[in-house]
Amino acid sequence: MVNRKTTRIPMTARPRPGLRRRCAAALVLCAGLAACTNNPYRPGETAEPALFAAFSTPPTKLDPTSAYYVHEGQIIDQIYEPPFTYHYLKRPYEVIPLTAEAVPQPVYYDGNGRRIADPDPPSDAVARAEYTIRIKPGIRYQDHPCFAAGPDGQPLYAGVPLDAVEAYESPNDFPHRATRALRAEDYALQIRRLADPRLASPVFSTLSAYIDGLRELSDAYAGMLEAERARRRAAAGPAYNRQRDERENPIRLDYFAPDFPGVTVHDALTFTLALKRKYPQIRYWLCMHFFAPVPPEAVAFYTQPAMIEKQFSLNRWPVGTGPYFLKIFRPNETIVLERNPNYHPDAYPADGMPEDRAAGLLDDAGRRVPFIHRQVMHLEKEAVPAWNKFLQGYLDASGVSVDVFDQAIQIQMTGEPTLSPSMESKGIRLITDIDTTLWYTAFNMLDDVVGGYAPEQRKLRRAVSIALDYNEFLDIFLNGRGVLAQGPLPPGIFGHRPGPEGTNPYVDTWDPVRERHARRPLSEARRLMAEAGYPEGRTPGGEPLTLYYDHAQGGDTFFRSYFEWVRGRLDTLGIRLRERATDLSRYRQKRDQGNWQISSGGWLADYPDPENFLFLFYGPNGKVAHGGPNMVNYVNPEYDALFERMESMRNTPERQALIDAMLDILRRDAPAVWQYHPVSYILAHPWLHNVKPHNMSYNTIKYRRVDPDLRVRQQRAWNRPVWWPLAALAALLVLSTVPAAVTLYRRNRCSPT
Amino acid sequence: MLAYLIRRVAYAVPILFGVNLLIFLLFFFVQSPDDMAETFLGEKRVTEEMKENWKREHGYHLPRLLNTVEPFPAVFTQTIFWQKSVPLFAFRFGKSDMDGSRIGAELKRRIPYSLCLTVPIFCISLLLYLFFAMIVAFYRATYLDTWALVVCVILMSISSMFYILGGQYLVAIHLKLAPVSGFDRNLLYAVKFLVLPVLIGIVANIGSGVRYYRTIFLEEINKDYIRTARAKGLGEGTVLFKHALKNAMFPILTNVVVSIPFLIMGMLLLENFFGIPGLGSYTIDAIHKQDFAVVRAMVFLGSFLYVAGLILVDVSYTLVDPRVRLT
Amino acid sequence: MLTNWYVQDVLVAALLLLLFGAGRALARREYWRAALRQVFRRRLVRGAFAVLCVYTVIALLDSVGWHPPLRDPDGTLRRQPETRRIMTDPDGLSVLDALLTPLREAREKTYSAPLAVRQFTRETRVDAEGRIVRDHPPLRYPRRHLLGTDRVGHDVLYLALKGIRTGMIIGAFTTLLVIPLALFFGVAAGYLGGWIDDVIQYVYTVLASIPAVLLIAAFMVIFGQGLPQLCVILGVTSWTGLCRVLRGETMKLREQEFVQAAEATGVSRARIMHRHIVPNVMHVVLITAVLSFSGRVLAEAVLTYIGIGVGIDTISWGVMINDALRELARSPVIWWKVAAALIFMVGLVLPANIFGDALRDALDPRLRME
Repeated sequence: MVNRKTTRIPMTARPRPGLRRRCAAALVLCAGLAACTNNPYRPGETAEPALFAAFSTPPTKLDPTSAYYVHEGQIIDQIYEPPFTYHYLKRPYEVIPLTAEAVPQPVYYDGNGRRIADPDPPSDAVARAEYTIRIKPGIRYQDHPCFAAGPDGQPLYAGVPLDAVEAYESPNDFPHRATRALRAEDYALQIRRLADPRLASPVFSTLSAYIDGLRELSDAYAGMLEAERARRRAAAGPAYNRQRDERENPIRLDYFAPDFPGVTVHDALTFTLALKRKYPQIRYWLCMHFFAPVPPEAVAFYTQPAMIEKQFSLNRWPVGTGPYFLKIFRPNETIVLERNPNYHPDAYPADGMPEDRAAGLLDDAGRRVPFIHRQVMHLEKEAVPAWNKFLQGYLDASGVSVDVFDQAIQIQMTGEPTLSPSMESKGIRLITDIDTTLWYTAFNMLDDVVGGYAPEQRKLRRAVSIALDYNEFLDIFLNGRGVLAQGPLPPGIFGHRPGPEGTNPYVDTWDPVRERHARRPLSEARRLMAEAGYPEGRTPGGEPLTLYYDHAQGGDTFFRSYFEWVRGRLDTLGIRLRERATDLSRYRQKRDQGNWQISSGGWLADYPDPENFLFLFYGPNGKVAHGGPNMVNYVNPEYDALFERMESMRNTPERQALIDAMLDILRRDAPAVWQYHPVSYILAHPWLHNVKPHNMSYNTIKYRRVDPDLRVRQQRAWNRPVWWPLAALAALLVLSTVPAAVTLYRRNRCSPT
Repeated sequence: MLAYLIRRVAYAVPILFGVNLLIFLLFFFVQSPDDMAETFLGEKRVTEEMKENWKREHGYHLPRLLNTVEPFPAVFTQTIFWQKSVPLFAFRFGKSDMDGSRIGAELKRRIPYSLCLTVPIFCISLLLYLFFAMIVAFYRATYLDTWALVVCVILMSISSMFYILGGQYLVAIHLKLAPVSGFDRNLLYAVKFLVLPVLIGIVANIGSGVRYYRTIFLEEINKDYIRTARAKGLGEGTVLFKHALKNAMFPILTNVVVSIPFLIMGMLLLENFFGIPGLGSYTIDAIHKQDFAVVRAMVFLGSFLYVAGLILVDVSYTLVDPRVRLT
Repeated sequence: MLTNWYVQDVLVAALLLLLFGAGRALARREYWRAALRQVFRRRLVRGAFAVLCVYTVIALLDSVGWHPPLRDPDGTLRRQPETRRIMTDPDGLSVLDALLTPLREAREKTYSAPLAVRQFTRETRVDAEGRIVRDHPPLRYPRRHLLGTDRVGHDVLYLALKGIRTGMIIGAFTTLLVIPLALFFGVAAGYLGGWIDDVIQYVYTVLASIPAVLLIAAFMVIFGQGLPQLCVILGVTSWTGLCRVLRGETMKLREQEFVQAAEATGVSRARIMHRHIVPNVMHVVLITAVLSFSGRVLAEAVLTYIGIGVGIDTISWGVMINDALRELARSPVIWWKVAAALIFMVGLVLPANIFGDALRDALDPRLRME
C-alpha cells in the first residue's frame, strides 16, 4: 500500500552563517536601547497591514474532520472553505454560497424512489433528500508541497526520507510547492473522511443519522483497517508493535474503495449529497468546516513516515482554498496566518442591515477581500497582560473581562452601555451582541429528590429556579452582561419571543420599568417549598434538605465564587447545598450513569435553528438511555411528539405555535433552571474597521481592514516611557551608602594604623 | 581523576534507575492508563473504542511489567516499562500525551530560551549577592549589619509572587519601560522582553542570597588564619577581600556549581508570567494539562541534572584547590 | 456539646501533645534552659515569639469545633419527630467561626473597599423615584469590613484569619512528618553505618535528586490537589535534607569520647542512639524545623498558583493571592485581598525567621541553612 519510490529532494539553503555573529554584535547595542520600549513587536512590524491578536488556549486539532472548539474554528475557518457560508452582515443569519455556485433546493423522493413535487413535504413522506452542489470554476488551493509534481507528473514528495525534511519547520519550507484547482472530488473525500474511525469525528454520530450510508461506510473502513492490521501482524510475527508499525509504515486507507451512496461525484465541479430523511438543517452543516474540501494529495503527502515523525499532518498544517494559509504554527507561542496569493475573487458584501451603513460597515462594499495581509497571534495565557497590551495599542481588539468592566464601560441612565471617557478619548469603539448561547442549571430528572414529574417535584425545581436569581448573578459576575433566559431559546433564534409575552410565567415576571425579565419574589419560592413538602427547607424527618452539586471544576477560581453564590442563594430557602467535586472522567462517568443531582450545562448554537436547542430535551436524546446530549434525561411523550413535528419544518407561524407549546411544557416541568444568554462586548481600536460579531462562523477576518499609519501614531503617543522613578531609585541607592561611608570613616579614624 | 569520574558516573546510574522506578510506580500503578485516556479525550462523545484507540496511539495499551501473551523477547519489551521508562536512560523522551509532539525536540528548542533567562539571573545575582554580603560582613557587628539583616529577613519573608506582580505592574504597565510579556525567537529582539524578568529574578532572592553568603564570610573571618593576617597589621579590606574571599570559595562553590545544570530547567513562575516559552513554562503547561509524559520527562531530566551537578562540584574542587585529589 | 470532631483534630491534638512533651523534656536540661534564656533576652525575639503564639492560638481555635444544634425560626431547638433527640447541624462550626460570627455572617453582595459605606462596583437599579440609575449601592453592613470584602461579599479579614490554619497546618504537619523520618533514618545511618547507611543514603539521594517542584507536581497531578496530599508530599521532599545533616552530626558524635565510653561499657546500640545521640542532635532538628516552617508557608502560595497546591476549595493565602491576580488588573485596583494575604503571610513568616535565626545563633551558629 505504501509507495516507496525514492526521489532526490532539493535542499533549501541553511541559515546564513554570518547572521548569528551579527546578531551577537547587535545584541550589545540593543541591550542599551532595550529598556526604552514596551513594544512587544519587532520594529516596523505594526506599520504593515496586519492584524494583531492574542489566543489563550493552544489549538490542538486543525483537521476539519476533528476540530471542534471555538479557538480551533477561529483559525481553520480562515483556511478552509465549505460550499456555503453565512452572510457577514445580515441578520437573521442567511446562508449564501461560498465555493458553490448557488445554495440548491433539495430534491425529495418517497419510499418508492419517486420524486415529490411538494417543495416542503411532511417528514414521514420523505425517504431520500438530494442536494446537488455545483462549485465555481477556477478556485485554487494555497501553494503546498503536496501538489508539487516531478517531470513525470508523479508527486515530487513521495517516500521522502526523514533527514531530507528534518530541517524544515513547516510544509511552507519545502522548496517546491504548487497549487491546483478545487474539484468536487475533494468535497467527496472530506465527507468520506468523517467516517474514518481513526479520526473519530465529533459530528460523526449526529451526521450518520442523516447522511445515507455514512455508518456503513465507517464499518467498511473499520473492516479494511482490521484486515490490514491482521495481515501485518501475521507478516511481522511476534515482534509486531502496532504503534511503531503504523508510525513507520502508516496505513493508507483507500477512501474511495467502498461504495458510498451518500455522495456522488458527477464531474469535476458537481457532486450530490444524499440524505436518508428530510433534514433542512443540513444547509447549515454545509457552512461548517466539517464539509470543507480536502485534497487527496494532501492526505497522501501527510501519510508518510517522515511527515508523521515531523508532525506534518492535517492536524497541524491545513491545506485549503481560503483567503489565508497557515504560515507559522507554534501552538505554545505564535500563530501566523498569511494571505493566500491564490485566493479566488471575493468581494465585501454590498448590502446589510439598515444600521450597518451608519456604523461604517458598508464603506468597503463591493471591494475585493481580503484587506489584511497577515494575522499575527501570540499566546497570552493570562487575561491581565492581554488587556494591558490592548490598552497600549499592541492588540487591535479585545473582549471586556469582568475585572476591567468599570474601567472600560459606563452604563447610561437608560441602561445602555457606553464607553468610559478614558476609552472614548482613545477613539476605541464598543460593539455588543447577544450570543446565541444558553446556560442552564441541570436537574437530573432520574433523581429521587430533584427529578420526577409529580407536581411536588416540579414545585421544588421551580422554587430553586426562583431562588437562583440570575439577574443578581449577572450583576456580580458579568456586570449585567446577559439576558435572563426564559427557556432554552436565545434571542436571534427563530421561536424566541422577546418582551412580556416571552415570559416564563412559572418563575419570572416582566419588569416594565427596566424593560427586562426578573425572578418572582422569594416569598413565592418559600411557598412553593412548603407545597413541595419542604417547609422552611425541612425534610419530613426534620433535617435541612440537602442537595448535591456535581462538578469537575475544582481548580477554577471563578467557579469557586460562583458556587459560593449558588450556595448562598439556596440557603435563603433553607436548602443546604453540598458539592461533589470529582475529576473530569469521573464526572463524565456519573453523567453517563445518571448518578448525579444538580449540575450545570451550556450550549453554543451550532447553527441558527431552534431544533439545535430544543433537541437538548428530546427524550430519544437522553444521556443515560441513549448517550445523547439530553443530559437532564428529560422524557415527556407530549414534548417528543411536538419536537418530531417541529424538527424539519420551515420557519412558519405553525412552527412558532408548536415551539410555543413546547416551551410551555419545558417551563412547567422545569427540568433546568434557565440561567441566561450572555452578551458579548468587543472593544476595537479606531484603526480597525468592519467589525461585526458573528455567532455562527469565524471566517470573517477577510472582511477586516486596518489603518496601519494611525496605529503606529497612536502606539507611539500612548507609550511614552516614564523615567523619573528610575532616577529617584538611583538617588536613593546613592544616599543609602552615606551611613556606610560614615562608619568607614569613623573606623579608619579610630583604628591604629 | 579519570577513574574517579568513571566511578562517580557509575554511581549515578543506580540513582537514575531509582528515580525511573519511582516515576514508573507513580504513573503506572497509582494512575491507570484508563484514567489518563479519560482525562485526555474531550468533553463530548467519548466511547470505549476512542479510549482504546487513544491508549494504543500513546502506547499505554500494553501490560505494565510482563507481557505474558508474547514469546520470549517480547515478554519484556512489549510492556509499558520497557517502552516508556527504559528509553529515558537514552534521553528518548517519547511524545507528549497531549498533542503528540516530540518531547526531545521540544526540549532542545526551549532550553536556549530558558538559558536566556536563567544565565543572566544566575551570573548577576551571584556577583551582586557576594558583593553585598562582603559589605555586610565588613560592617559586621555595627548597626548597619543589624539593619541589613533585618531588611534581608523582611525581603525573604515576602512571597515571590509579590515581586513578580509588583514588578510587572510598576515597570511594564505603569512606567511603560518594558513589554508586559512576550518573547521573540531572535535573541536580538528578545532582550527587551528579558530585562524585566531578569531584574525581578535578581531582586526576589536578594534577601536569602546576601544572608547566606554573609554567614559563610563570617565563618571564615572567625578562623585563625584571618586573625593572624589581622595581627600582621593588614587592613580590614585586604583581609576580607583577599584572604577570606579566597577561602570562602570552597563552600560557595559547593552551593553554586551544583545549581549550574539546573539553569536548563528554567524558572517556573517568571517564564509563565512573562510568556517566555522555556522549560519552566513547558513544565507548568504540562502540569495544567496533566500531560504525564512531559511531567515524567521533566522529572527524569531534573534528577539527571542534579546528579550531573554533584559530579561537577567534585571536579570544580580540584580546580580551585590543587590539594584536593580525587582518587 | 462537643461532638463529631474534625478528622484533623486528632492530628492537632497529637501535635500539641508532642510539642508539650518536647518542651518539658527540653526544659529539664540546663543546656537548653541557658540557650533559651539567651534567645529570649532580645526584645525582637520575644515579640516574634509572641506573634507566633498568637497565630498558633488562632489556628487552634479554628481547629476545634462542634456541630451546633438546629433551631426553628421561632428559636426553639429542633427535635427529631420520633426520638425527640435534639438535631445538630451537619455543617460544623469551629470556635474561631463562632467568635467571628459578626464577620462571618456580614455578607455583602460583592466587592467593597476597607471600611466602606458603599459597594465598590456600580450596579444598575431602580431608585426610590422609579428612575434607572447606575451607582454604588449602600452596603448591608457599612464600616464593618476592616479589610473589605471579596467578589462574593465575604469579609476578607475573616478569610485571612481562616487562612492562618491552612498555613500553620502546612508548616506544622509537614514538620510532624519530617522529624521522625529524618531523625530515625539520619541517626541510624550515621551511627550504624555499613549496609544500613548505604541503603538509607541511596533512598534519600534518589528522592533528593528529583527537583522538589517536579516531584510535588507529579504527586499532585496524580492524587489531585488538597491540603493532606500537599502536607504528605512536602514531607516526602523535605525530610532528605534534614536526614543528611543529622547523619553527618551523628557521625561526628560517634567518635566522641562519651559515646565511645558508653560503647566500651556494653550499652546497647539502641540505647546509645536513644540516650546519647538523639538528645545531642535535637538542636539541629529544632532550628531546621523553625526555619523550614517559613519556607513551606511561602511555598504554598507558589504551588497553589502553579496548580499543585491546596486547591481552590480550601481557604488559604495562596488561593487569595491567586484570585488577586485578576483583581490587580482592575481599574480602580482591588488591592485589599492581596494585601491582606501578603500581610498575614509576612506576619507569620517574618517572626518565624527571626525566631529561627535567634535559635540558631544561640544553639549552633555554624549550622548553615540553604
